[in-house]
Amino acid sequence: MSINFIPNDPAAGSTAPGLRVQAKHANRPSTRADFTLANTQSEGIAAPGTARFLFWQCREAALSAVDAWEAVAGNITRWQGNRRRLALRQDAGVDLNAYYDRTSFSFFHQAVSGTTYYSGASTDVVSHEVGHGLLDSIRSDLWDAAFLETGAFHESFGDCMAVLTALSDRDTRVKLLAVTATLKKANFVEATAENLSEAIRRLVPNHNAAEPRHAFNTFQFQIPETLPATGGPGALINEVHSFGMIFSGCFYDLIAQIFAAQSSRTEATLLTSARTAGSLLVAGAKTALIAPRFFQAVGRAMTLADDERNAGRNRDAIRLAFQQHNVMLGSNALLAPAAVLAGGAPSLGRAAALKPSTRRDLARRLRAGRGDRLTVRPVELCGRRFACVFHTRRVSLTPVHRRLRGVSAVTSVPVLIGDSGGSPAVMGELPDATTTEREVHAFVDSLVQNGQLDLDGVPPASPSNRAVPRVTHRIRTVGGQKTLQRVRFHCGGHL
Amino acid sequence: MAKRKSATRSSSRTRPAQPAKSRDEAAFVESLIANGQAAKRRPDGSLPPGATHELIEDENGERRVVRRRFSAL
Repeated sequence: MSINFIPNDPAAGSTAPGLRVQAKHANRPSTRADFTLANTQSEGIAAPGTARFLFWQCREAALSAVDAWEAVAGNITRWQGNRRRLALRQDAGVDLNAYYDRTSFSFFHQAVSGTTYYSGASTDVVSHEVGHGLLDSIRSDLWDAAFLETGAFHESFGDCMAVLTALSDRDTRVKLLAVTATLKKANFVEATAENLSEAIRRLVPNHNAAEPRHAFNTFQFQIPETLPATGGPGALINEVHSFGMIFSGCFYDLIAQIFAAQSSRTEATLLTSARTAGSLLVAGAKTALIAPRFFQAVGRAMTLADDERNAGRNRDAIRLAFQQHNVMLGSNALLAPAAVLAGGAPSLGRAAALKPSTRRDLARRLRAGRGDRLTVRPVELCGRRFACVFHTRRVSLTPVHRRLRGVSAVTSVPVLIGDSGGSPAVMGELPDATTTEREVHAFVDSLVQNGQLDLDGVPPASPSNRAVPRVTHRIRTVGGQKTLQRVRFHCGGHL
Repeated sequence: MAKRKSATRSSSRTRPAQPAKSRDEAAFVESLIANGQAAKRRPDGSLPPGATHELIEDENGERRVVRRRFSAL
């Protein structure tokens, strides 16, 4: 017996593989994670729109997504929470959506302008939801991570699983290469959930989801909250599904980069390329630490995984794929936005300046106290202008040595401020006040231990304080405060 | 389908699940509310279409969001 199956999406277009007759997937082995099927239908060829078609289409799509995962991540034996089975509800009622809630994958139907749309009839949509469940099985802590980028990554991962599921189908790969031999053209694989988007377009033409999400895109990373909360069809907005397209773009471009490096470009090497990218994605998703800039964290984890698994063969491809979407993974991360600040865009001309509200926000984040100074200077790095803010503060040296009670050291720590989506943003990393204090204490302690600090005119006794003067620092009163000051450098070795 | 509302700022009392959240976390909650993805449960106990997070208000009027599911759109 055979079934009818649509390997991509009912509205993927004439270039995509359409409805075909094929053998059904075998049931999963009893040792592996599985689905509990609802509204079971007898096997057979059935027309789209019928309950029988929907049952077998949804089951086939879900099992295809799990197959695609297992090819890059190994066998899955349990879902999140050690569950062996999750319900697969191919039609749970009226809605234009689909959900994964840790107990089930639920799909819906809705009639719009005389046409009934079934989210469970799209392999794209089913793969996306199963992708949530698969990611949840290895990273349950992402479930309630309270950053937009972690939520957006979860959504993107669903879209990436839809791409991987599609590329695991030979007919799909052949037809895709007929559309674009390089993958660098809009196509039915990189577009997700066309049918559902069509329904939304007919219902709410200006809805952001009225256009399918695209993994082939040129969207550039900016801090999500600097984007508008809403936007027209397909626009990049401050919303998890939409913002996820940045990461999907990185992943899709990585497949294209790896494929371009193959000695021959065939459907077989396309499969190999997709699986290489997929295995790196899963490895990165498994180990990336939760952080506000989670896309960057995953990209870096993918690079480390490639070093370990592939001797870094794909390092440049990963870096380039992420860089194409302004997600910097290497030394250029110094110039990538890390945290948005209050206030309007900074002035980055010859005389850099920050808005008062930006200064206040930055001072608060730097834990600047009374007497601290923030001075702003313009800098140009790699052809881009920034404001370099120097946070000058006193660090008490009392904890270092009893004879340093009441003495402090003046430090000046730079912070690079740039523009992200028209808002001021910390570029690279924000200095941590505690780390700065510890570094200063460690340095002064080394001066004391090595007899390089003159305390009250008498260098402290130390094992290394020999006849040769080694003092480089003294304590002087500056502005009424005892302050550590360098008096010279010395070129002596470790006498 | 998620009925995304026009951009609105959340109440200053709206907070994520734990106290002392960073600006990034607060911005995430604002995004959820602005897009209709955080909502109170309906009388029958279900979440409205498109909502992925439940909006919970405690006896002090403090609000927090808890993820209940992921969605396709």
